[in-house]
Amino acid sequence: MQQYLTQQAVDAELKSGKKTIPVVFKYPASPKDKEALLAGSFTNWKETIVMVKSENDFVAILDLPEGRHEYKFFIDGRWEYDLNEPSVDDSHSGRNNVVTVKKSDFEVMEALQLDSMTTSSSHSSNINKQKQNHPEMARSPPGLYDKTWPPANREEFSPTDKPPFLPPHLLNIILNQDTAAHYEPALLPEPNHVMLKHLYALSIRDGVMVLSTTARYKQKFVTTCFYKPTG
Amino acid sequence: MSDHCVVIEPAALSEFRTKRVRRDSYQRINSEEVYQSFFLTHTCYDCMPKSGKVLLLDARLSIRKAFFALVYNSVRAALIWHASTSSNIGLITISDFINMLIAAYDAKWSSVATLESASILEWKQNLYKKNAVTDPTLGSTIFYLNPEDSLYKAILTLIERKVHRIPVIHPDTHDFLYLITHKRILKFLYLYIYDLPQPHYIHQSLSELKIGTFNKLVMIDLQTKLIEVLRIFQAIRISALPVVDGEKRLCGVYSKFDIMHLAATRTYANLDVPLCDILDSIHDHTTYQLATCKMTDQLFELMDKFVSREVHRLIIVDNSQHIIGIVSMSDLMKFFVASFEKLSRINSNPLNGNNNNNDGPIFKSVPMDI
Repeated sequence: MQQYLTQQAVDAELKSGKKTIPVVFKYPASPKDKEALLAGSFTNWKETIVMVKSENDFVAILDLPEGRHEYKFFIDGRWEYDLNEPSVDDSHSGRNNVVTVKKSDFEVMEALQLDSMTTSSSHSSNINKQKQNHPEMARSPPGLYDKTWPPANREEFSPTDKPPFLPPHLLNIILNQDTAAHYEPALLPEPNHVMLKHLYALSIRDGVMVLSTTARYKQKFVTTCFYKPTG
Repeated sequence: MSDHCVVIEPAALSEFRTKRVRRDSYQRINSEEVYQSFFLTHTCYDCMPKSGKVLLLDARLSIRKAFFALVYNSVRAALIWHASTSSNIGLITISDFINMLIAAYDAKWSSVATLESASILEWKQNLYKKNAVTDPTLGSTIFYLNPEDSLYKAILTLIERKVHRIPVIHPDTHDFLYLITHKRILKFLYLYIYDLPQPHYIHQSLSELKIGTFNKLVMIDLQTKLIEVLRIFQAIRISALPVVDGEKRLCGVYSKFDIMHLAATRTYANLDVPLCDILDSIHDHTTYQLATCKMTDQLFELMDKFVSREVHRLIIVDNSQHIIGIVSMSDLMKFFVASFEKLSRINSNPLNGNNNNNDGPIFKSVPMDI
């Protein structure tokens, strides 16, 4: 609920033309710590934001406008600050951590946003809607999560796009291997199970196409070579 | 299979059990019946190679290309696939190639272009017309064996149909698994031969057993023209001819498979060459050794030679290399079957219950090829 209010405040700022960017707050937790709240100048020190425990840290992400923000953590009833982050004296003989959102940070965000707009503008707006509908949900880090579809027609492919490499085990073709038993040419080395049910082809020569596939019958294997005229 | 191995899969377990039953049964049965029992209890699947290659040729493929496919893969036969009916319509073998070469020769090579362009389908259709087979489906019901058929059935069928190979095809999926031959069956038996009790005849000599062909032997000499050799192959359905020198001593063997050499070197247009010109190019005389045997050789030695030398027939010679006869793998198989039949006449119920599962046609003695 508190976060919801904060988000409202931020949204209000957004509407009034002030831009925000997401800022990650982290507090390195010790195993005995149970609950962490975040307070700061961004809420005028009135509301606290519940932080989410993720592995070794308590984490919260807030959209903040440009400027200098002071903040502090409220861990299981104690006021704490992060020693590893920049901090300043508070007016109550303690210390507050401080974070500064600079103008240059917005430029990075805008560039990222422009990127996502060009790929799929409708999708990102859906994400925003979702955020607004479920504000109590912990939000994911910013950025785009969708898959870009490959172009439908060949012209749009970039010339550097190549088909994926063949898995190396498929290059090991039993028909190409020499068998010890030269007197019995119908014998082949035992195939690996990954080679089964693949189609092998010999390049068309003299108007004949040769296809081959290996199949299992009970515990034995049959490689069929099929000769077919191309005409 | 080791007795210590842990098998979890139920199907594998049941297979494991049947194998143990098989092994037990070898101990209980008379050693004279052991090969028969072996052939009855093992299936065409057992004899199948662990990983094998089969050739499938589209019926629209030209005859020349079909043979290059055989040569390139150095196999002796391929199944023909008829795409419009989605069925296998037959095998193409070296015999087809011989028949085609003779037909082209008789037509003074006016049809050599046909050889290059005609499809397998057209060739097979002509063949059926010539043999007055009025089968509009063009043998869509080709003869094949089921992978679960016993080796005994396979041997009987090979002998009865006087063929060297039968395709083994899965009846439900119609997947072509492999070609079963006498050679493969004999090699399979030979893998287990030291584990099996030995019937007495295995140590009998060729002169005692009288297997093979000794009368009306067809021989050729080095001056025989290739076309004459081909005509002999076509006329009497044999797979190889012994070549003799001026003193009637064995100096070579020309087999049907050697004709593949013609296709490989594209020298099939001249069939009037004498054999001496061809033999040198086929076999390297410094390493090539003829597979021969003596009348005093025991059956076991013959089997060993068939398997280790990878030949389909042994020329029986005396000490001065004069030809006495020929013993082929088919002869050996016929001997096995005949010995089983003799046993079944003595014992009224010899097959410990296995006889009633479909063993297919009972072997009737047919006149031998050669």
